Amino acid sequence: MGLTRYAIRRLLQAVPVLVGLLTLTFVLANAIPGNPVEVMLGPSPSLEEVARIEARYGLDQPLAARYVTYLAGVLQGDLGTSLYFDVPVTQKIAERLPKTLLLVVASYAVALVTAVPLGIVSAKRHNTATDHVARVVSLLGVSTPSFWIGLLLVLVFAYGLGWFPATDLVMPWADPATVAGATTRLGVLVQAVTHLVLPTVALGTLQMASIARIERAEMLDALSADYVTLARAYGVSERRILTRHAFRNAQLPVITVIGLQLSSAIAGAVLIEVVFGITGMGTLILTGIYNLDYPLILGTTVVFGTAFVLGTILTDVAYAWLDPRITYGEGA
Amino acid sequence: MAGDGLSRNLDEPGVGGRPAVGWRATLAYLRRDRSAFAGLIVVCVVTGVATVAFVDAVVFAYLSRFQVFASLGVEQYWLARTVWISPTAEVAPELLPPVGLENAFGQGQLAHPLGTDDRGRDVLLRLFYGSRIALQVGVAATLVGAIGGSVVGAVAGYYGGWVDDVCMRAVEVLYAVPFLVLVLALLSVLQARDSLLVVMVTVGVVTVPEFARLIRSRVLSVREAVYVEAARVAGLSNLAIVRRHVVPNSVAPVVVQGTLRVGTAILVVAGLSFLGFGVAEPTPSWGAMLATSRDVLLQNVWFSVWPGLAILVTVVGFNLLGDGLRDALDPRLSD
Amino acid sequence: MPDPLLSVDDLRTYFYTSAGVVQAVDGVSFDVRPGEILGLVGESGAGKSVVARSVVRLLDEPGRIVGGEVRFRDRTLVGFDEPSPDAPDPTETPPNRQPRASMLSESAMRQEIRGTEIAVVFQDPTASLNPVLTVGAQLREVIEVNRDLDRAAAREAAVEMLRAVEVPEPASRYDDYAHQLSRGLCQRVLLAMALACQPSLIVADEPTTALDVTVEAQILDLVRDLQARFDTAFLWITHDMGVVADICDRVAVAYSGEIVEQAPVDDLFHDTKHPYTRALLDSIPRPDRADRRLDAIPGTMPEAIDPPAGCRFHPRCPDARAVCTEVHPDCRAVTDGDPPHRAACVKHDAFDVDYEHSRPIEGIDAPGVDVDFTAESGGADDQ
Repeated sequence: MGLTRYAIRRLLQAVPVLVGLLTLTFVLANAIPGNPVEVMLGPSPSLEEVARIEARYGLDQPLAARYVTYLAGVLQGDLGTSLYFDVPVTQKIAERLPKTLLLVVASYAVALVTAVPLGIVSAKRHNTATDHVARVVSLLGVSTPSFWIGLLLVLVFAYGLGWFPATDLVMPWADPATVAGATTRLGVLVQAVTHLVLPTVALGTLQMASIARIERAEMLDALSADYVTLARAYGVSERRILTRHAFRNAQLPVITVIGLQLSSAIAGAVLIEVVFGITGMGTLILTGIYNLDYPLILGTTVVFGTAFVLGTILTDVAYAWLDPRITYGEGA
Repeated sequence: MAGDGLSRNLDEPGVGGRPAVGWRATLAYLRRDRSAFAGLIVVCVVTGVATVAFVDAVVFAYLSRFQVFASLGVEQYWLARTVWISPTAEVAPELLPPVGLENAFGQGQLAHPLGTDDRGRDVLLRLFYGSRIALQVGVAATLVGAIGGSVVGAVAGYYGGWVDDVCMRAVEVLYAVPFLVLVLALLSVLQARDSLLVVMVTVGVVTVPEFARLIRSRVLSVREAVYVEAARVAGLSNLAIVRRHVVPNSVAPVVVQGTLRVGTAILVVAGLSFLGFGVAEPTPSWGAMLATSRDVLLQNVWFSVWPGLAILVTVVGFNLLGDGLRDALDPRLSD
Repeated sequence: MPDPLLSVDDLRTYFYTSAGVVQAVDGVSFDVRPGEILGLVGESGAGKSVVARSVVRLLDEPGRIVGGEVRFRDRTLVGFDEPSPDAPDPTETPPNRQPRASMLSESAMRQEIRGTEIAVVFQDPTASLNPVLTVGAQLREVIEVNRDLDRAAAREAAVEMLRAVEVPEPASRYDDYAHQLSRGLCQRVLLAMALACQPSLIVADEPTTALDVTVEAQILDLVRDLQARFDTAFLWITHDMGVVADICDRVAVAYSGEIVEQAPVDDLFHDTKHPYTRALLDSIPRPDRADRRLDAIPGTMPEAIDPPAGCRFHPRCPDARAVCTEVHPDCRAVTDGDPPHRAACVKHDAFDVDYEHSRPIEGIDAPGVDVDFTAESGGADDQ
């Protein structure tokens, strides 16, 4: 079938899910008990505001028409106006999204780079001391609340040892003039990295532990598979078996897990942003919630959901790239 | 994870052998596997503690609304008060360190072995009562998810066709939003920030998709099995087939997934209460304690250690138990 | 008599599990001559696959080769020094046998023996091929590793080999994945892999069991042709006596971790010397002999953890006598002949244990099934 066709097919399959997502947020906004205007304006609005909102948003229209208007608006990039900030929601999101993306991507990168070798070594040295230590570490990693790790890291490394800062992230491309402690581009980069270390470790621990666990399990499976025994029977070296035969097969379920992890990665990002005071999407949605800013809340929900759906499509395509049974299967 | 020293044990249940059938066999397996047994102990202890706390905090509070019981002296935290003090009593000096240590606020006392919080309440007692929140939400949400998900998955898997499509698409939409965000959005829209009930139901709803998928794939594989064909030919109704073939086959993975899920749900509720959702002062909750500890991080370091440790130990217990159950009940799923 | 290619002598492989020590292979001896097909036949659980893996030293934990010797031509694949007198009993704890100096190291096994001299074909053709690599790439890799060819030459050799095993359109099949081929084709690919390395011996572990009967017939024809062409010896492991009759030159019958009879194929079928072999043959429907009862062998093969005392087959043997519970017969020559017909049964003179005067033991009553091939569609008699 080919990889491109598969990717396109997945994208098309995502469309009804995205529509479902928008429907869900619309339902949340409009069909709950209570006045939809209150939803927009918060509790106890003045009559004047109510009239203004009703006219502006066509709330006197029937539900179906409002739904269509809403969908059309979203497709054109209109997610409403934030009540608290009094600017378009999309603008706030555009401001905050980069930091969250940086945090999530960095933590995934760190998690993958540590977890995959850890899992492979653990499988290769199955049942030895190294393996047991690695498994204990992984178990602790998936059982510890990430925000607690963040707190402890702040305590030890920021306040205690003073090695890393415990404040907001610095974007690597920021203007040196806006960054404290940096005068050059390079300085900005250094600041960006040091500010990224603690939050990334806190967020990445859970990802690393889950991925390491499944990597180990899958490598063990792959290494005892019939085709591996056969390769050994033909004198193929252990190193080649590991890299060429077992590794590729083992990654398939790992990729699936990475996709499933995305949801908790995002949840973790919200919590970590709170611990470190990072001005990202997480603190944005919380600000919205604390201030009953419904357009902001629902707008960020839509963006989170869309990002998540795209993330899962990406993992599915990566999976298909590795596994010829998906692209060349079914009727081939 | 569990079951490592038991390689190729062909006659007994567990890794590499046949699955344990029935509670006795499962228990026997768990007793042999040390880490799973440790998990079982932890889960039992925490559940015990949480049950006592639940009775004292919720049941007594409910009963105290009735004249009959109030006149007997039944009130919330009656047990705690009788034995010691209420977890909400602000009696001690604030931010004391654990016993044996000293900080800017004073000397640690034996009366408060783990120290006190920012309002002079005993930390150990609040940890004890905080377990109630964790387990109440953890278990309830998992039950909601397991039951709801099983029904949806069974219906989707058994009837197939467009029913299957509709169910699974709907479930996927739930999956489409990261669960924390969805829960937060639901909580805020329902204007129920402090409602533990809403938290339980929404976290449960968010858990539905994974159980639905699990049950659906079980149902699909059972449906294709030859013995189901035979049963249908023999004239068994759909319901009877489901009851007799699908249900027993699905119990094991649901139990395993459920146990592991309680651990995850506890982490979720800890996160939610850290953000200020689900519980209001003065109800003790581990996540909320961590949130407070953040404000006083430098003043009393220890205060941020205990609640996190409590969460860690509890979740580890559920994970070890869940892994052990998986090894016992469905060895094909494990290493 | 030419020197044997592969010589297995008193091989013992035990599995140390927490349920007990599984004595999967417990004193197995046989030879494979150059160019011959030796069948190793027996029920499931008799230890045949373990023998195959022990020969090329590819055992998984917790299996250990604890004794015996395996020689290939003049090289020692498995061999130990004499055990020390205070060595632990291997039926209880894994022994620490010191490998003989002449025993090949693991890397020597890998480079010189596996693939190059001895090749293996396993039972499930689709599981033996890596699903994410093309079959051609795997075939080519095996050729590269075992013959001194560069990548391009190996690719050519691979395609040639596919042609030799009669895979249609070999050049385009080269780029296919395992899931795109039928099982029969997969097994041909695996045969190609085995032969491509030009080994002297191929160990085939139930290679046609997973195939349906017509495909199996084709594969057997193919193997006969290839064997004639390349003069490869085969250790052919199977539980199917029909296949044995079809393709083997000599046969060894395995029971409960031991060889109980070893003979050229015709002698085995027409002059059976061991009650178990007799029972096996009696339980197979034979269309050339109508009006026969199919006799199931009563009872089941003993668990390899706790074999019975004396002869391991005696609880199920119709000819069992008291002496059978005391003497544990080895598989020795019971005729003069070249090669001799060997059997592990004390009723033969070669065992001097006074079998005739020993008291017979009660056997287990065997349910049988009547089979009538000559009847009309009124069907077979029921038991």
